[in-house]
Amino acid sequence: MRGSHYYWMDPKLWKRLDAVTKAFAARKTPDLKQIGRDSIEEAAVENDPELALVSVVAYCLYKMASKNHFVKNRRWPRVVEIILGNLKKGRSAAEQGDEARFTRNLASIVGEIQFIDHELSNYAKDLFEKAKIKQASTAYAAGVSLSQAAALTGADRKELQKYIGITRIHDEQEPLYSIQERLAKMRELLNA
Amino acid sequence: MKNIAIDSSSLITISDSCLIRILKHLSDSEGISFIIPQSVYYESVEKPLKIKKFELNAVRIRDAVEDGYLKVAKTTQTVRQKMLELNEIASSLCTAKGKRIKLIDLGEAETLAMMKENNAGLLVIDERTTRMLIEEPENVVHFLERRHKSRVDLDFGALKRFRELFGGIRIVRSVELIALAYETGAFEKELHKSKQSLEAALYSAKFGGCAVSFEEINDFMKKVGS
Repeated sequence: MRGSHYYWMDPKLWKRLDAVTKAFAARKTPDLKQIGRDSIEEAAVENDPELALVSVVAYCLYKMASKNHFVKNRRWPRVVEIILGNLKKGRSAAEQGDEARFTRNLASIVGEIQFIDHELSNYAKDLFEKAKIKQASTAYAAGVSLSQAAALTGADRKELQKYIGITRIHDEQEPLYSIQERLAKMRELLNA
Repeated sequence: MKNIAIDSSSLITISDSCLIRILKHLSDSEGISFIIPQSVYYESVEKPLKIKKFELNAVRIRDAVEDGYLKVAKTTQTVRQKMLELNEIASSLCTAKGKRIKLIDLGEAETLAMMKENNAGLLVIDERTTRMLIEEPENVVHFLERRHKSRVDLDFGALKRFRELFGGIRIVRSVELIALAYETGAFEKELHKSKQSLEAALYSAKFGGCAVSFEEINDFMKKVGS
């Protein structure tokens, strides 16, 4: 946490929370996904873990709201109510610069996501952990290192590396040296 | 002996691909001493030893250290100072909208910082950003500008200092280590020597997270004799 008054007065964080709240209330899943993406790219540039957490939450909400076995469950309206309530309180805390309250509200949302995910999901790995990895991979694609990306969202570094390995991230750039050229440089050094 | 530093990204790739013993064979045949900093040992062995999912890999790396072909370099006071200096320089290299972009974390900084102290001129690293920062820092700026669609400024003073400290480092990835092992006979002590097994090992490294493209592997494989 930064703890800087200036930072906590920065309206970006609560504007993002507003956007997440509106999109989740209206079940606009593409918007939630896009907010998650924009937030993590910005968090990567600004090394902003709070914004990264908002991004991870937005991604979780996008995934949950996209799945029928979540939204058709009888508990879903109550889940939505709890999450929306905490989003609004978190927004208000961020606006007032109350870091502790903001953290508590976001933790409550994460707790609710983990609870409903545990109840209804078929996967062993929980949605929140997957979301941390997914958003960290976007931070890595945006230019920060693997460790920095993992640190930003709290993703496991090793899981992140494996996830990145199955994406096209490393195919998007022109290599500076080919495998042959790097091999030749290594041989040269070993034979020196 | 020639010292080669290995970043945790490459160590994970090689170990996950069950190819860690090529390090031993390369060490024996080429007179290489592979070194990792203490933080990499902690991240790759001590921490995952307590997680069932990652325990086997941690055991493999611990065995490599116990067998002596992978050495753990001490994080001395000098290394610690250099690591913090590097972290500061790397964090001041690029700024966007007046804010510094923190490109690398202390883990990567420690591997770089311990290289000079241990006389290692070559770094094996599968992670893309640190590699770009060392080899083509100006391109990091262009890359960030393209990605973020906004102006990114480079601090030339910080760049000069960064180059003074780390400009001479040469970089390879786990795919080049595998290719070297194939050339020198170290590979066939682990797998039968064939184009197919080489290609499979290179793709295993890619899917394990090594920053290499399909195109690079395909180009390389075209030039490998059967």
